[in-house]
Amino acid sequence: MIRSISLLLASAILLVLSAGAQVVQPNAALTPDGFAARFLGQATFGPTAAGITELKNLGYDFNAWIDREAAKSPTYSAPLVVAARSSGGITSITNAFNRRARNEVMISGNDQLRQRVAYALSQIFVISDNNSAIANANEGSSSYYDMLVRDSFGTFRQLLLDVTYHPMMGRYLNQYHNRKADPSKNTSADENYAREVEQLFSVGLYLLNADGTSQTDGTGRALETYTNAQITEFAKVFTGFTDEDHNANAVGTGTGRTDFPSAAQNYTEPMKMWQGQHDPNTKSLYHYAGARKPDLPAGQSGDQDVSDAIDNLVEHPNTAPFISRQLIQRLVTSNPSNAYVARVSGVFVNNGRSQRGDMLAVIKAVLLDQEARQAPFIVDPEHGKLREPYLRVTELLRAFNYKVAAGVLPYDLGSTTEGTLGQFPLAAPSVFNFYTPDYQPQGPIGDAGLVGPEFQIQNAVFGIATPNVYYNLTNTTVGNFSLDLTTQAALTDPAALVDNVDLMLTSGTLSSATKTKVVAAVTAVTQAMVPSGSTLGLTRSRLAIYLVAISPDFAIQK
Amino acid sequence: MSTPSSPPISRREFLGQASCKAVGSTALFSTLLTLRLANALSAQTVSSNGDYKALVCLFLAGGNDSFNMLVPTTAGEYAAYAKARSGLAIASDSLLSITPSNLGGRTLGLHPSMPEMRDLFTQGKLGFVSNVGSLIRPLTLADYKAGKSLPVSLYSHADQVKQWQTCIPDQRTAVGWGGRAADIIASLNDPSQVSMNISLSGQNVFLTGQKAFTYSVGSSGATALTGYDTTAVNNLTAQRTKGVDGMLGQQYRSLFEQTYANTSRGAIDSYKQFTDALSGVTLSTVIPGGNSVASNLAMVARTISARAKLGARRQVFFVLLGGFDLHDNLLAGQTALLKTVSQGVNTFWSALGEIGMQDQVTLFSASDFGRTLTSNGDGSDHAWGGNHFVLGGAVKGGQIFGDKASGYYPDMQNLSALDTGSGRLIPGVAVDEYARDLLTWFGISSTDLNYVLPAFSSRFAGRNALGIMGQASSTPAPTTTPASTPAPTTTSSGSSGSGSGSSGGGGGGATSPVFLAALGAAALLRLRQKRLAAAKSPPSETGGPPTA
Repeated sequence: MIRSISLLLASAILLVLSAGAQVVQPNAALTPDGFAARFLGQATFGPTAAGITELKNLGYDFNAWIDREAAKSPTYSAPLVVAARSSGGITSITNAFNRRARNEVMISGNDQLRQRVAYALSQIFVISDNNSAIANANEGSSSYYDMLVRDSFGTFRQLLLDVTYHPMMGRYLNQYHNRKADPSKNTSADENYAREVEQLFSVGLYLLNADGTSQTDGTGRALETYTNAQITEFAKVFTGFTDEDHNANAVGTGTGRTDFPSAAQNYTEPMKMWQGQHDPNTKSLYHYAGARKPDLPAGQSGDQDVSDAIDNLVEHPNTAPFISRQLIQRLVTSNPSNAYVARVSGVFVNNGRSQRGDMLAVIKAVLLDQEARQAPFIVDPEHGKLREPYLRVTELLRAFNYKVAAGVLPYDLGSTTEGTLGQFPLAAPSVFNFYTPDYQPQGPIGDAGLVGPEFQIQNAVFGIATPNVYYNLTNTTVGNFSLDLTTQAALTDPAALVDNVDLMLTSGTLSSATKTKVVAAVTAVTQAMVPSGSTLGLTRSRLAIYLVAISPDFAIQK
Repeated sequence: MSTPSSPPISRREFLGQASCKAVGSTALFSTLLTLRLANALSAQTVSSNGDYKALVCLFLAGGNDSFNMLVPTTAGEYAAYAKARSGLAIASDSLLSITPSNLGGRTLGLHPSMPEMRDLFTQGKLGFVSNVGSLIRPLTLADYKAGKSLPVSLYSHADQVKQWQTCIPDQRTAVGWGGRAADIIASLNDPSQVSMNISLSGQNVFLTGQKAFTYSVGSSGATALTGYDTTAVNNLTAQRTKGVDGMLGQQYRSLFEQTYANTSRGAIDSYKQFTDALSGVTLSTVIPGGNSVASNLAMVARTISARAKLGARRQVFFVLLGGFDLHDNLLAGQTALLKTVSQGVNTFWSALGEIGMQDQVTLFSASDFGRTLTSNGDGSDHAWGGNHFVLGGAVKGGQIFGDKASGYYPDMQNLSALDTGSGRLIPGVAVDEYARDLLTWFGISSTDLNYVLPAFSSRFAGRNALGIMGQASSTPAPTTTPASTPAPTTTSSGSSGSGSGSSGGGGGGATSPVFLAALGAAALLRLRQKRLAAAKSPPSETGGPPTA
């Protein structure tokens, strides 16, 4: 199914360009391996030759592949840094080592779908190691990422609960040591977490229909989801969190006191409720149809209040479409149709067994939807998304048999790369991620009223810096990484070489026009142009990979 | 090689629908912004040749201990200063004395390592602004003690840095006031691949707008695309270059591929335009060795010198010097840093003189926060209000600007109304007010100030300008502002009204312009999807494995 508007647009472009310019469009006639690679581009940190073979052996049954991924045990990053310290390989756990550990599980983890989903979740439930409270918290940030990995295929309720209680989120959005109101001092609870858990992690700003479109009043104005009074009420819920100290009766030395007791900072285990600073009053939550506990009675335990409030958010009619649309955007396409959002959102509400928020079912709905899978969408001019800069690097690494220099926690891309991609996992500039879901780039996308979130970090600086990372990676090294191009260098026919690169990077969608240009460039490389120490095959391979890596064909996942 | 000019839904048509159906009384700022940008052409014709202004932000990262940069020297005040600072006090006889023209005879002293800036002050080219900091609204000590209207995470580096750069201290955002100024005023410049906002210190919040982005260069220029050279012939680089140009020059049917091709082409062209514009631009001004402020500001001066080739009538620059977080070794550490600052600023002034642009450029300092007056033994800790400087031919130099009620500089003998403890001073002047003076000079109209400084009109508008700038803007701001622009912080749709006292991390929220901008896009998208839903026929195909 191609949207009629797309066809209109295409014909308009053809009309404009009929004067002579060739209109380039992707190749949509993929081989089964091509369709497999395309799927792996959406579901992993990049297809590998082995990954394509695995799918082939499964009869290209993507549903079965997802089930296999779901059955795999999770790969965690925090144990890597802890082990490195225990073994004496590193003397202390710094932020740089946490980043290396997360690179390692994302790039090399056997549980690729789980890792890719966790990475997507890290861009919704954002914490950032740009914040010193996160960067200096030993393995805290890795522990947070591991929590997302663990919960990727669980329930949305458990995920939101774990996010709320994680000590790193507590530090990032201030629910850690959030004190109840003190009338004698005229203070009230910090509203930071309450605001963001509503605005970004669950219901969003505007009342939504099940298909993600917003509800409007008689004059067409969007209806807001909440008022500040609701944030104030939820803020009362998120009070009383302190460090877990494994003391069943009290926290640290706090027996008998009201204010938070002194306890060692715990950066990895769920925060503990300290009743003395939890607001004991009634709280008014969302009053939607079917809300189970729209009002919390006075005197509930803090943990009960939080549990009830999370239920109230998870079951709010907005949450399913709000979260579903963002997961589609992270994995498949920037502008899903309303029907696609509605289909995924429907699974979020009910997985077929009357269970809400079954994340595995939601991920399946996202990845197996006709709009994610069917070939005609490859040539839909409004379909797809700009591949994230970090993912373009991991895809290059995985496609071409990366090598890592030996050493402790070796998965190091280098601080230069970390600073020049415009994006690095768990390093967003703010809780609003690297880009907003509704960012409209100027030009064709913005003109059509569409969004392209990732274009927010595609500018004149990163437009140079990011290709330079690909250049270094294909020609020399990036951090501790290099590529093993033995397979490609052995392909003496330029067309065969480019076909290989096309399969691994663009899953066979490389346009004939781009392919012609890359083949011409590769063919023009003569023995006389080969740098000393290289071979003709290797030189041609490097050029072919670099050119495809910076081509619009690869940059846009379709 | 232009992009298709007639998509089925034109921007104009689309915005027309949007403004009828969706904008309403909800201030959808990106929509308004887009309208302004769409109208940019008329603004360009308004602007006359030769008009040029630049703002340069010198960010002293880590939190400059600025009550040692600008010290009270009148007898009683110095004694109070020395008592408060104990081991951190600078000996009175080593301070570089200045007598500001507006302090009624009170005298001050500059840090001994800043003779160049003392001279600039004496010459009337440099002024100081005292006790500036992030404020949600004018604040009393009683408000502070009650926890009313406090910036998010007061005293934290990351948050205070952002708040200085965003002027939205009640929430965490990544859009700065330099960027928002560029969103409004970039239309004065010729269409250019090189952004109006240029950083010598990498990506930063200050220069990031809703549309505007930071063009990053180093003290020796911009970064080239590796392995790309249009002059290469018959070698590997030539083949690579031909391949790159060929791919980026194609017309793509995918809107996404075309947008990527455009931005990539733009990035390469920016480099070329910037490098070509600066080629041959040299300065005879001597740049002190090992001084990053001097070398970075020299690159700023070279860029300003190339303004005609860059088509720029307005530019904003960002230069950062780190190392000010001196919890230890304050006296020696700050001496070295302030020497770098003073010599660097002086180099810039000389360079601006060389290119004849002293009156068109204003440099101002910023920092995370001030530091505690009290000592922690060998250094000072994070605090709040601090002192800053502004340099330029348009600056009313030789004066101290600040809270009039405090006599423009806090009296150390009586800090009881300001001191929240340990000499952490409640700012007498908000960063918003500091920025208002600078932006007004830069040419931002009072209406557009609602966009650039979204909190200003509802929170500080009643306060007089600080009076830093002596020269009114000679050019009207872009005349593209819709007459009905609603003020961002006073919309009736406010769900978290900024007028009501918010506590802790609250305030702003759903009605803030940052979110409103995102909402604008969301609303546009929803409209489009609605139309799509109405226009298209139901799906005729069903899902399934592609190989089936």
